Amino acid sequence: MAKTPQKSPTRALTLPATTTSASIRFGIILDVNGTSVPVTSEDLANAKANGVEFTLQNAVTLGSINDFESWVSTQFNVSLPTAADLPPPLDSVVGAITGMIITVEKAHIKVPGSASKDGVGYTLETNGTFQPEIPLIAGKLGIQGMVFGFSNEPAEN
Amino acid sequence: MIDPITTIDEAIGEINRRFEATLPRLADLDPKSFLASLWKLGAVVQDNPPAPLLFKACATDAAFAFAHNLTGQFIVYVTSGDDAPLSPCVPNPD
Repeated sequence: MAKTPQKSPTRALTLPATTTSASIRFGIILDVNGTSVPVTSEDLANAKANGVEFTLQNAVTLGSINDFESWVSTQFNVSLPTAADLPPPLDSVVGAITGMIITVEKAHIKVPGSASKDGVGYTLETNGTFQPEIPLIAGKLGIQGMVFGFSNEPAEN
Repeated sequence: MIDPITTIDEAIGEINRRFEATLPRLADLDPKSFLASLWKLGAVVQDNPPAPLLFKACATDAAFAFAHNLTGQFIVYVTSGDDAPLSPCVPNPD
């Protein structure tokens, strides 16, 4: 005897809630002394009117830079003082600079909106850590590093 | 057949089509603006980018000058959910 197909109980069709949504972003992989430094955008909804703002995802360590003085001159357009320009014990800082471990702590680029007459805003901030620190007063006071960079944006409060 | 994507503007057009987005196209921008110079960059699309990426296109000029001494590669990408670590496009096999 042929079986009569049984009807499935009627069930409401429930679609899974949308837990993920596509996010459209822009990014830039900056080249800082041969190291890739990625910066990414957030909101692109009003890119035409407001432009696009890029910020650093995570701090990036560059390591030590062999020709540090030349790199600073090229990258930041500044000249470092020589040891002869500084009084002791600060003159020892100059000799330790080459061995500094350099880390990019902040990178920001603001591309203005299409109608804006502003130029591109930028900030690149790095810090260098002396290995080991430079003692000023033995066991009490020392210089662990220095912060430097360049920017054409207003300083933050 | 979909035309090959050769510029950032075409990549943005593809994103608008595929993800129903409304990003401005080159024709919408002031041609002298910096934004327009980004849209005009040559681009290559990475096939099958790793999750969570859904789409990724990189400027072919990896040393475009954003400021006088800040150079880099411009990338447009689509992710599902959280942001993804950014890296250059992997060359597509011939």
